[in-house]
Amino acid sequence: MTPADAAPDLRPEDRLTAAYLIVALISLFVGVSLGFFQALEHAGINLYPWLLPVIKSYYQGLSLHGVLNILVFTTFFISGFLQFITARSFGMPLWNRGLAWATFWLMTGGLILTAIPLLGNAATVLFTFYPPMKAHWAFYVGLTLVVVATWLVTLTLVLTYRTWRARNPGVRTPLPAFMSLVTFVMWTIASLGLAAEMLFMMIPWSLGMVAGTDALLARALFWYTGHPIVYFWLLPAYISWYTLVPRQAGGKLFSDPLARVSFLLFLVLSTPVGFHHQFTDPGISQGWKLFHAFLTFAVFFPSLLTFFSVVASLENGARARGGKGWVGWFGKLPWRDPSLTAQVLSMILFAFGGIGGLINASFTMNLVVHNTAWVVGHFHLTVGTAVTLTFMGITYWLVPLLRGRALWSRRMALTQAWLWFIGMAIMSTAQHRLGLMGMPRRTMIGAAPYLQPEWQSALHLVGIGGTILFISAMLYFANMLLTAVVSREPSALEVPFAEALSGPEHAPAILDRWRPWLAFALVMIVIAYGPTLVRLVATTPFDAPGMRVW
Amino acid sequence: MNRGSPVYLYELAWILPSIAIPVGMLVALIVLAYGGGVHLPGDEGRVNPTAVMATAPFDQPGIVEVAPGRYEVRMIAGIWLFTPNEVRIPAGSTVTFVATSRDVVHGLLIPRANVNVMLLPGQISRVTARFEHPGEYPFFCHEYCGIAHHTMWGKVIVGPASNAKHPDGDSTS
Repeated sequence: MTPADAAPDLRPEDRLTAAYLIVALISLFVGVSLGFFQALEHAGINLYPWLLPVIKSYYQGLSLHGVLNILVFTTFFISGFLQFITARSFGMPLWNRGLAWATFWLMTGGLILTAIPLLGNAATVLFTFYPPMKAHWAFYVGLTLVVVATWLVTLTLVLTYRTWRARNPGVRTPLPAFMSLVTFVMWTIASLGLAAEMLFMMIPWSLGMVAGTDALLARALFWYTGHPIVYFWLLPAYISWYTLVPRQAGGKLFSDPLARVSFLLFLVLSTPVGFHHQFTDPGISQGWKLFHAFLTFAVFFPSLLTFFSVVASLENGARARGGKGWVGWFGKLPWRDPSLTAQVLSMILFAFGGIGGLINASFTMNLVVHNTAWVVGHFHLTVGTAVTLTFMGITYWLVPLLRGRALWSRRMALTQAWLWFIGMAIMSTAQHRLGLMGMPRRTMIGAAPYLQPEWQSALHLVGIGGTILFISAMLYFANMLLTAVVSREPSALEVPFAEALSGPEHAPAILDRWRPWLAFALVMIVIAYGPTLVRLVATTPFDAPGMRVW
Repeated sequence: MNRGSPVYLYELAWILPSIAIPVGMLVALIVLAYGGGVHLPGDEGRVNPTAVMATAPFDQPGIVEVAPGRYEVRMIAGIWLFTPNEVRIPAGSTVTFVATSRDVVHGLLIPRANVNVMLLPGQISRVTARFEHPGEYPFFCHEYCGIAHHTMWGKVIVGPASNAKHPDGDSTS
């Protein structure tokens, strides 16, 4: 090894990651701000007239809230974070920095193309954009470009891996890089449904090249991607929980091989489960719905493995810090560290999100909760907390590292994390209850003539929880801005990668091979989706004209 | 793996219940679905969304008594109303909703009767529910369908149980 190989300059990768984070956080800022207005609307305080003429309706705000938070913030954050993690984990620059930057600009260009019709009220179709509701073509083309850019991120990661592999034959792939690669490969397979929907249905139709479309086929393709996309959001949080949090807690990762097993299971099982979002759709047989329910339960298994590994690693850290007892060790975690605190709090709420998710997936119980406020409560625990609060926690070390300046205020960050936890606990519980009482989701409920009196108390809690969340978010953005601009104290420059109690040397070679797992994943998809998709493609007449309904 | 090591044993003690619990829940689910007779919507055929109003049974939306105590509601969802948006039946009735959309995606949620189904243009939805107790059962569109989505709703009004021989007279009272 030459000295240049031993200590490569990764500052260009840092700049790339910083660029992704800037776009991600601006999107999140706009997204969560609009969420505040939604929560107040539910509590009976309609502030939308104040937003005129920029935001013309509740539903335009809701479209921006969904698209910016869960499509844009997540995708940009993950692309920046996992390319950073891969380069650091390999100790090697990305395969080609020109390609990596071109990818960033393509993704940003896609975002701008999406944002123009959204802001112009020409794409008030929510983040699911179910046809035959028809947005401006730029919305679909822009989102498609974002997806294409994520494929280029996969290409960068794969080529970086191959370069590393050529120099390190026979060595186990470092766990953080391995997990990053699994995440993007899984996503690339999963995004094919959305890509097909866009390229063969939405784009030609929105451009007027074909006259009609079909609601059911579009939904089937959308949810082919729409469920695994939650694992695309979640796995980067898991990467932090597995490979960084144990060190931040003062301990070691419990088991490196178990972590690899769980990620490979996500690669195989994330995609063939999408019908559990369509249990109440006509036109799909009950048998295939049950099969997807079955696989959804199976994908619960790697999440249970993750739960075990992460909690065991936390316990290992807490005991090393003097923690005692069956439960008492929990108090000995380094609760003064905002990065760790944010992530542990997000794990606690995620446990409830996971339980709720099982109820959603439960074939028959889904009839009670489908498309009610329950679902909104559910995904604010998962993507809105497990993912978002974890990503915030990551930025509490990552942004100082990238900027070279210490976090502006540790106390402000701690307050932020706790406020998010409390605000979300209040809001999400209320939304779950409202769902059980039969309140529909994605509805301007304060203006609904059918507003039921028994919903009122929970609706006020949505307003209170949403307000606390908004305060938390503003503390977060202020801290990030002050860290970037005002902070002068130098920061640590090391990435807190954890060691493992049971290390990569215990991982069987099969866990570092790709072809069998990829083949397994594709076979599962063909079995779960093949018959229904072939039937729909062969028999669908595409006879629904589009319309603008806002 | 390192068999016999504490890490391995702890893992095993976790993994086995982690398999057993989802399998147990799945069995409970299948028993509930097939033993308890809870059905999800399935494949009920297509209808041309641009010709809904000219296609049977949607050319005559409304309520029909198909057998004593058994009704069929032929329902069309469109922006932003259900047709019909008021359904009157006696208590103890079993009602099958046969519904579709004539424009964008809608939904039909009757919380108090456990009815929850998507109404997609092009597809026929069919769900059955039993209304035991007199009272009002509001129903809502539960999929975003445009700017006045929150005004799209209706009611099933369940009157006292009808023991008369001619219960069809009840639907207009």
